[in-house]
Amino acid sequence: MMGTISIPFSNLVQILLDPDLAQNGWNYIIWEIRFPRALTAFSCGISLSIAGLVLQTLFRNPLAGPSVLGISSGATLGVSLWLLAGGLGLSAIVSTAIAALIGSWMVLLLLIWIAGRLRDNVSLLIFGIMLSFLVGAFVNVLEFKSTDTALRAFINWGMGSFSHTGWTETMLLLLAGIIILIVLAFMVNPLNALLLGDDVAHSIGVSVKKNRIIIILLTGILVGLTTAYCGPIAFIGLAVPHIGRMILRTSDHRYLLPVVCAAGGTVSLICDFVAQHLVDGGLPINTVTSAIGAPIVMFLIFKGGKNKT
Amino acid sequence: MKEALTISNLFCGYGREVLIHDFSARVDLSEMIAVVGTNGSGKSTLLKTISGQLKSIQGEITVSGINIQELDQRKRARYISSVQSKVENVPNLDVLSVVTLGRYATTDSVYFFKSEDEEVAKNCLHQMQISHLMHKSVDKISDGEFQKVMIARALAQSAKWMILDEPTAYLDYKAKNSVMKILSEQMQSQGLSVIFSSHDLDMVSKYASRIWFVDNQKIVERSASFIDELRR
Repeated sequence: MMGTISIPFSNLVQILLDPDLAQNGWNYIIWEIRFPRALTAFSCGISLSIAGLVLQTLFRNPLAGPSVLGISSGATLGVSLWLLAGGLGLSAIVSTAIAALIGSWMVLLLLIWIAGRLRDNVSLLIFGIMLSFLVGAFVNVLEFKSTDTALRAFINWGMGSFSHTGWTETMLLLLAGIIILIVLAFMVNPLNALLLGDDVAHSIGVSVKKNRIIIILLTGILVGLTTAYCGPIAFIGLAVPHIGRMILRTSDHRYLLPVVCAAGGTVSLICDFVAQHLVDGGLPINTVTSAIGAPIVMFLIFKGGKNKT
Repeated sequence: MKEALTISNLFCGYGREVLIHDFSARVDLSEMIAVVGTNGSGKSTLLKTISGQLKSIQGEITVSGINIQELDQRKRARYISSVQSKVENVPNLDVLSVVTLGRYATTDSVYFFKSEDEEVAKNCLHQMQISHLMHKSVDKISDGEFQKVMIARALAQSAKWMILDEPTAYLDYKAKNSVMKILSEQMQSQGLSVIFSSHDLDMVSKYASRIWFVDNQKIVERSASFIDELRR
């Protein structure tokens, strides 16, 4: 709830409790700018962190994350096609989300198709990384061929920001995050079984194929919506699950899921606060998430001596 | 009808590569069968196929008259449990949670385990004589202890047939005997049937009542005395 215009704490409480009595300008700043922004940052943090957690579990690889598997790139491709085509005169809220979802679904459908043919998750992970490069190359071609205005809009979106969302986008992000979190809460046993490997999960009665598809689909929704409204946000999905494991000293999803969720929201809010206040005019959110996230992952790798999912 | 696992004209392998040709057998309850053969002969492939992890190329495996390929994973896990020879990248999960996961197929509370499931898991840990490890993380225990945890997890599944791929490979001589003895007791008291692969001929001759000898893509059934011939 902080920004360039200072609003005293007592007034903030008044604005939140009784908006009608508060000063109109402050009221607008809090309810239409800062509150949606904070809620968006929190929701995105939750979405990306739980997406990162379940992907790391599914692939039994601490380096798995939405961006690594090409899911973020797929969403980026969808949005870049939409933005560089000039938006096609459609409502931005719906069409960006649809473009990102179509993009991530395209990658996901390919991943699901491949997942049915590749037995081991490492091969699938390598496939995702290659796909990410391939989609990235295609986006580069689109950028090269686009107009200056469209390119500026795309670059602006690509840096990532929590400030371009209104209440509709914020509520959509929050709702998707909460619903998917509830679904995942009912999947804690299969998720724990998957930590022991596909063969063990299979032998205790967990359908690896079914759970793999559910996880990929849910991750696609989380990453697609986040990318559509806030741009591709780096490192939160990769780093926060490690923070959760470090705090709890366990990989048990019964405990990890709520903690990663809370940590994701908090880290995202902190990153946004730093992005707004570190330098005049603010920094792109990706600069901050990368600057904070990369050293955290490096520290954890050195401290732990070995990577754990 | 007597409960049995039957294998009829089974061909198994990967893709077009057939490793085992035309194998038929019947495994009743309370049996202990050892699968013996050289490295790469197809023992693990056979065990994976019997446990339903790998689809057979041809032929049929049934439990109590039901084709295992027609059962979904949970239902199949109620009949057949399996223990792998090695698990890579062991996670940071406590022993009790791992053993309780064995209840996934049989519990009536598939989303969140009940305290009864945990009690069954504790009992299995007790049977495997590793109750003291209950709250340790599985990545902090020895390979031998981990193998015992995985067998306890399979016991928690309460399936009538247990498939074990080299169950004693990482165990010291004392632990080997203790694991096989526990399985043998389960066989007598619970009617459990065990099919295990092993290179340890002493263990095989001591505990197995039948031997499936894998040689040149064929399986020949032998009696326990066959081990003496092999040694010669």
